[in-house]
Amino acid sequence: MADTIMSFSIFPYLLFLYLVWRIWKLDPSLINKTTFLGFSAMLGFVFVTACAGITAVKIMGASTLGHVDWLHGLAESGLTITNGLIAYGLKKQLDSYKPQPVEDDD
Amino acid sequence: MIGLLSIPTWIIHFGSVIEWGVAMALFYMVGRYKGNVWFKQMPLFMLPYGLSGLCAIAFHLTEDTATFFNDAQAYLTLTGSCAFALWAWLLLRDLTKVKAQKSQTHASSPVKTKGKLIYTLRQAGQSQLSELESPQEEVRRG
Repeated sequence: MADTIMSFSIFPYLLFLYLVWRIWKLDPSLINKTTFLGFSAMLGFVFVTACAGITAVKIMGASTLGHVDWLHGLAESGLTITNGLIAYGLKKQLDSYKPQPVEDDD
Repeated sequence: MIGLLSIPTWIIHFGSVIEWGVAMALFYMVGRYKGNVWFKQMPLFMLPYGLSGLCAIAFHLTEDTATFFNDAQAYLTLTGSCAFALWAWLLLRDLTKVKAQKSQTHASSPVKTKGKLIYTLRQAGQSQLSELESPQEEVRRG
């Protein structure tokens, strides 16, 4: 049951990505490219984690992905990367609003 | 190994959750700078995904035995995805509304009503006045 609900959550997320893409087209200053890349790369993370889960349970015979540490770590590191991209993009966006330091001639 | 997970895998897990928290704070700060209500509200919409991550960690802490956390994670993920779609829709709706209003005011720029004409003139006068009151001074340094 939990797996089915988890898979269905991809559809609202795809809608989210489409709407954010339209927002970006309307006003590119509102969403940083790196943040958008992070949100899009989340799809990659979902795909990798799903594959890792199937590999661990169906092929390696573990009860959950958590029982195959290296595969688990590899899959989850994808989320660390995407979340990092989202946060980094926001940081860049925030920095761009602050006045740039003026270089002194002397 | 602590429970099921090795230390690097634990670090990856907590790292993701911390990054999510940082992103929540940054979204709010961007909203403050932009004066955009939906960016300021974004942390609220990001909360279900954040809780979903915490449930995943709780599930691993019980050595993947407490299926309650696994189920909760699935429901929270679905809630999170719906919250994200809703957020983007609300923001897009506001943006298109603003754009429509702008084009409307632009179209009716030849002033039709007397009251509006006075208001526009007063505004124009004020902007000229403020230019006179605060002339752009060149600050000489060194």
